[in-house]
Formats: sequence, structure tokens, C-alpha cells
Amino acid sequence: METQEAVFRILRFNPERDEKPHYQTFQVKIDSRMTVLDALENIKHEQDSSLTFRRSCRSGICGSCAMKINRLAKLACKARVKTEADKHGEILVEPMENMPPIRDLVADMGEFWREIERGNPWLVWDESLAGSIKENLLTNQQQQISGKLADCIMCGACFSDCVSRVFDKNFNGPASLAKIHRFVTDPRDKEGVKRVHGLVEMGLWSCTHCYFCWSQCPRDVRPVSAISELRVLSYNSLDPSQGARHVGAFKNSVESSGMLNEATLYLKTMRWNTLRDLGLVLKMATKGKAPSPFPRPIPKIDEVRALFRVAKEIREK
Amino acid sequence: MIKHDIVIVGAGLAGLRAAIEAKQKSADVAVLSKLHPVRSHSDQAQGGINASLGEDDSWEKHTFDTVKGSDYLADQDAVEIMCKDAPRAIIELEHWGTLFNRTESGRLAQRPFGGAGFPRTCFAADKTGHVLQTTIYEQIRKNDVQIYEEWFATALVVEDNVCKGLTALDILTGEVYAVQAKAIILATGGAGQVYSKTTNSLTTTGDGIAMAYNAGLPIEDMEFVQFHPTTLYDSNILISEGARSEGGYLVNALGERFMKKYAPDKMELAPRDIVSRSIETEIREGRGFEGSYMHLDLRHLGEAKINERLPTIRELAIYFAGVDPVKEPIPIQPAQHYTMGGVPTNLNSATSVKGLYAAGECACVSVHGANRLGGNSLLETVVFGKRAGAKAAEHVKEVSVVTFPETALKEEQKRIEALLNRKDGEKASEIKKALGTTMFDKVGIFRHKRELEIAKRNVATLQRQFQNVCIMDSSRKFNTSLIETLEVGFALDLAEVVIAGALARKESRGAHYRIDYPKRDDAKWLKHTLAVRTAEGPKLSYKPATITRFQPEARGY
Repeated sequence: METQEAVFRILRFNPERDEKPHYQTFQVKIDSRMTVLDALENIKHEQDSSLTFRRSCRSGICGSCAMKINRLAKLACKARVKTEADKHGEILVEPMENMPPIRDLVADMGEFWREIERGNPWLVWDESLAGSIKENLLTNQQQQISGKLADCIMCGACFSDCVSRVFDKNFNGPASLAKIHRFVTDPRDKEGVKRVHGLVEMGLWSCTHCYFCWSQCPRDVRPVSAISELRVLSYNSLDPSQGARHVGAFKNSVESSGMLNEATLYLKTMRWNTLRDLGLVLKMATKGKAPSPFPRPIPKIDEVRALFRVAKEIREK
Repeated sequence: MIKHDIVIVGAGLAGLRAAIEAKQKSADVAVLSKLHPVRSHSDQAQGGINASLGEDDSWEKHTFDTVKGSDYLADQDAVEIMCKDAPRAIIELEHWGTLFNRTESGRLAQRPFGGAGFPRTCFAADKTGHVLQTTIYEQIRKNDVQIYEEWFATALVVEDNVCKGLTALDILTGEVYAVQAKAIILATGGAGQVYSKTTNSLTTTGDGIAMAYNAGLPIEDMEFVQFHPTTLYDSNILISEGARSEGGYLVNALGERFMKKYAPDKMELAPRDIVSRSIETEIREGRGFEGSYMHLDLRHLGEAKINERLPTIRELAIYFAGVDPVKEPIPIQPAQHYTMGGVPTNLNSATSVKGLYAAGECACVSVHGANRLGGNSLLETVVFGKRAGAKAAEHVKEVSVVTFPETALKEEQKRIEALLNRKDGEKASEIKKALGTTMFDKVGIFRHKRELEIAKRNVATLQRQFQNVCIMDSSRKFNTSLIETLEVGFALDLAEVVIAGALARKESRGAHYRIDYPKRDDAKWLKHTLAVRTAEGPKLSYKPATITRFQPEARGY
């Protein structure tokens, strides 16, 4: 295999010596199959034994080595040096975000685990079955739906790169919600869909659907899809939250008029709170900036409504 | 000082199962682990977990297959307990939420595994360890068990054959603490990192076995080291036996399914010791690809089956070998996989020291004897983990008080301080590298007196170098170099025991194959090795294997 050199720029921080983090550069001889973890081990053993990071299985299943590699959270054992170097020139390595750094690439995952715990992340199983040697019957299809979500290895990559979490510390984050959905979809769970109650307080509607949790998940768990599913359940359970009303108003507006009507959207989402902003609303209306709360449908509204019907049919299937 | 009734070291399946049991028996129990529990090596198990659930199957047949697989060295009373309890243990995991694959009728699906007469391996695709570890950790949280995560146990404290607790380092702060306990359960896993080529995690360094050895306990059967036949060429990442149980072929460079020469009946599904030796023989006789690997061919299974049953295998092969098994065969070679030996325990997971228990891979009950069958290690963790938790909970009710000797903490703090402050010396990483290479090359699948003696000398040299090891990082907080150095110390001690046992055992049995003694010798060697630490190195003695219903026979497949 041909060898070449790659430049690693690593964020260093030793709480016993450094006031704040700083970058340090290392050169490493690489080959085409080398992973970022191989390179970090190489630096630690050949150049600087104080370089600190977590690692264990080196095969993408234990979830220890999540860190930011060229600005995105990845498992170091699955990120290939050559791919990163070809794309970015150098390999920039930093600890995960949305959690405080401990030392070098080791982040304090305490907040991540506390958010996971908020969702009672365990199967509430039927304890009358204890000791019996009869299994619950489950179809392979049911097994696969929950199984996909149970692939989560708790590496924290989705939490690190979650944009909503940056602004909303009450948002429990993608992994926590995916975990909740794993139990909601499991017919053996005695809580089941009841778990949806209380999710609004945990920030169910804070997700902005940026899809970073999908793209950065090393196990393809797709937390954002779980969040969408939970929102549907939450909406259908007539959960009168602001987020659910917003989605409902959005849908009704487009379905009835073919356009998004900001006035009805605002009224239906904010309800009586609209009165708080009455001055602004009147001012906008006088300047012709507020749409009529009684919109006229667009000419081809039938086509829009047909789309809604198809979407509904697909969903029901 | 930290005080609990029971402290469990290690948070893999055995440790966590023990913790749940002890907690349910209302003991004051805590788990101490150098990793967060979900990072434990149990997570990496792929293929499955055995139980005789089929109508034509029985626990007796499971016992027979296990005993035969062990080359008759397993203690048959222990194997009986494990196989009888297997259906209950697995159904319990199902009740707790494990997402096992199902049959058409919704029951647990089972696949055939190496050395088994029936398809009795329950599985969750090829990530069984992950789903079990996740399930059991969820139940740990439900039961609100206290966990000291990222704490590294450094030494057991034993006085007058009574366990008083241990010393442990809080990795986050770097402080060494005394942990007093009426009972300690070791559940620290195997010692794969003694070898350079291994499927085991970088953290699987045999800490618990070495701590027991250092505390004066005998260590059993360490010369029996399992080499897994199919690990990815070069990176040695595990490719589950599930790949062969779903129908994968092993093929040499001449395009032959060479297993027909070595195990005409079972073919690819012969036990692991036999398949590994067959691969190694093919390589040595010049029928390997590029002289050093075989092909595992899954192409005839088709994309749909590979995606459903072996998704991780496909992903690992693509990521780590650049090969898509749907289109190309996977390059594989054998590598260290499992430690059959460990801390000897009785049927209740108790060791010879009062208050000290061991379960899982670090223990030697012995249910695997000279060779473990696939699917039996996960089973051992939950069956004997539960027994350890139950017995320890009973024990602590009978013990009114233990007193942790202050001096033990001071000595350990002094030792670690000295390590951190040494300014110049040998690098632990270099020592570990040399150790791993020596062990794989000289104490591997095929062994010979000449090579074992070279290995013994090499390890002695490395031990001397280790006396002068230098960490080159004196920081206290999250000092991973310190942890790695302590781990290398453990690995060196265990390597000596493996070599001593292998040199002394002048026969070939299960995974221990001596080119100079190629036959099994029941008259002289149907017995377990016990090694005790002395100033002159490991001192060996032996104890008979327990035979209940199956007399040793020739072992053909």
C-alpha cells in the first residue's frame, strides 16, 4: 500500500495545565486503510503519550470513540484518514459538542446520559411472566421496527451535533427520543404509547429537522424519523401543545387554501396569546403586511387536496 | 473510604446480571467498571446464545455437545447446570426486552452453530451481544443499581483468605480509593489483548484474572486460548460464526472447500479449534491467498439474506476490508478470541477466597474446558452471573463486618505515585507490542516446546523492562497512559501463566495443540492446570476434571 503523510490538528486541553484549549499539529504516516483511531493511537504511542481519548472495540460497536472529525461528530474507528485528508486537506479533531470537555478529546457525557434517563429508557415488562419459560410472541416485522431503533450504541454523536440542543437545554435530544420510540413500538412494553405523554415538556417540538442526527449516526438509527413518528402520535393523541397546534394549522392552511396563511397559522398556534401582540398585528394590517385571516383558495386547489389524500392513504397503509 | 456490601468489578453481561440478582435480593450492591457499561466487550458478541428450545432438542444433548466440544475437559456438573438453566435464562432476557429474531409463528428463531447437533442458537441478526448488553443495562437502570463508571480496579485486598475489598482509581480525578466490601464479584472478561492478533477490544486485558493471581489465588487452564477461525484479514475484526451457520463457505486459494478434508460431516460448522487449525494448516502448506488468508464466501446466500441475517458482517467487511460480501468473498484469518481459563470457581461462582466470586469469561467453572462452542459464552455470563449475585447476597447477610486494612490503600497509592513520577524508562506500548507478537507467533494455534521456551524468555525480558516502565504523563486527571500501563502489567503476568501451562501440558487437547505431542492423552492429562504466583514464576499443580455422564471418546466431526 502506498504511504503518505497526513496532518492532524488536534484540540488539546489539560485542565491541570491549560487555561483554555489550544490546537496542536502532528504529522502521521498513513496508508489507505488507516482509521482516525489508528492515527490517534499512533500519535499517542510514538509522539505524545499525553494525548487523551476514549476507545475500546475499534470496530464501530462500543461507541467509545465519538469525537468531532473535520467539524462533524464521528466514530474515530470508522472514519478513514485518507477520505478525510482527501476531502479537507488536514484532519481536524476536536471533542464532541453540547457537552463540556474533560481532557483533550474526552468530553463529559453526563448531560447526554441524564437526558437519556429522562425517558425511562427500559422496557416496562410484564412481571407476572417472571420465571416462566414461555416467550412473548412477536413477529419478525415487529422485531425489526424496534430493532432498528435498538441499534443505537449511545455514542453521543447525534447529541453532539444537534443544533436544537445548542439553543434549547430542555430538549432531551435525538438519542433520548429514539430510545423512547424504541419502547413505544415494542408491543411488550406496558407503557407503550402512554410514553408519548410528557414528551412535549421534554422538547418533542424543539427539533428543527436539520437531519444531522440522521447523517452523523454511525448505526443508521435515524433519530429524526423517530421524532417525526412521536410527533404524529403526540398530535393524534390530541395533545394540545403549541408545537402540535402549529403543525395542525400549517397542514389545514395548505390543505384548505393551497397556501400558507401566516395569519391563521399565528392565530391557531398562539391562540389567546395573540392578544399580547395585538399592537404589532394591527400595525402590520394597516401597512398591508398581514394576510387576510379568511384566505381564498388557489385556482388548482383540487390538485393540492388530492396530494393530501394520497399522502394519507400511504400513511394508513 | 467507599463501602458497599457487594462490589462487582466489570459491567458486561456477567457483572450486570449478577448486580440485578443481588439488588433483587435487597443487597447493597454497586458496579465498578473502567468503561461506561454499554461500552463493555459483551457488546461485541455477534452470533448468538444457546438453549435447547427445539422439540427434538434437550438439555442433555446440549450438555453432550458442550462436553465433546470441550475435548472432555469441561466439568460436566457445571455444564449440566448451564444447559438445564439455558431456556429460562434466555426467555428471561426476552421478557426484559431483547429483540431476538423470530420464526414465522413468532417464537424465538434458532440457527445451527459449530459443534452443535441442533439449531439451538438464539440470535438477534449478528449483533446478539449488543442487544443483550443493551437490555440488561436498561434493567440495571430500572433497578437503580449504583455504578462507578470509569473507575479502574487496581488490586484485590485479601487477608487470611478473606476478601476485604479492593483499591480502585477514579479515572476522572486520578485518585486512588479504598473500596471496602463484604463480597467482590469479578466479572472483568477475558485477556485477549495478551495477543497481538485478537478480536477483543483494546480494553480486554484480563485485569480481574491478574488481580486474583496477584492476590495469591490459583488461576486455572490459562493455556487454553480460543482462536476464532474467521476474523477480517489484518484488522482481525470478528466475522461471526453466524456467517457460516447461515451457509457461508470457507475456500482456499485453489478454490476448494477445504473443510471436507478436516471435518467431512460438519464441514464449516466444526468447532472453532478444528476450523482454525485447518485454516492455519492450509496457509502453512501454501494454499492461502497471498500466502496468508482464506476466503469466506457468502455470495450464494444472496443480498436479501445477508441484509436480514448478517447486516453487521456486511458493514464491517465493507468498512474495514473494503469488500462487499454480496459481491466478493471476505478475506479472513484466525485470531485470538476467547480465554477458556480464568479464576477457578465452584458451581455457585465462589472462589477459594471467602467473599470473592467470579463469573463470565474471567471465571473458570469450567464449562468450556479446552475449547468453547460458539453461543455458550453469552449463556455462561447470564447463568453464572445470576448465581454469583445470589450467592454473594446470601454471603453478605451472614458476614457482620469486614475491616479494610489502611496499609493496603497507602501501598497502592505509593506504587501508582511512583509510576507517575518516574522520569525515564521503557514505554508500555512497546512492551505490549512485543508481548502480543511473541504470544501470537510462539504461543498460537500450533505450539512446540522450542518456541514456547523462546516465548518464556521473551516474556521474562519484557517483565524486567516493565520494572522500569515510564508513563511520560504525570497528570492525574483522565490519565489513559497510566491505565494502559497498569493493563500491560496485568497482561504480562497472565502471559507467563499461559506459557507455563502450555509448556507443561505435553498433549494436544482442544485449542491447545502441541506439534511435538499431537495426541490427546487422557491417562495423563484429563485434568485442569492450576497456577499460583511465586517469586520464581507460576507454580503449577493439577486437579481432575469432573465427569458425570459422558466418558471421553474420540472426537470426530
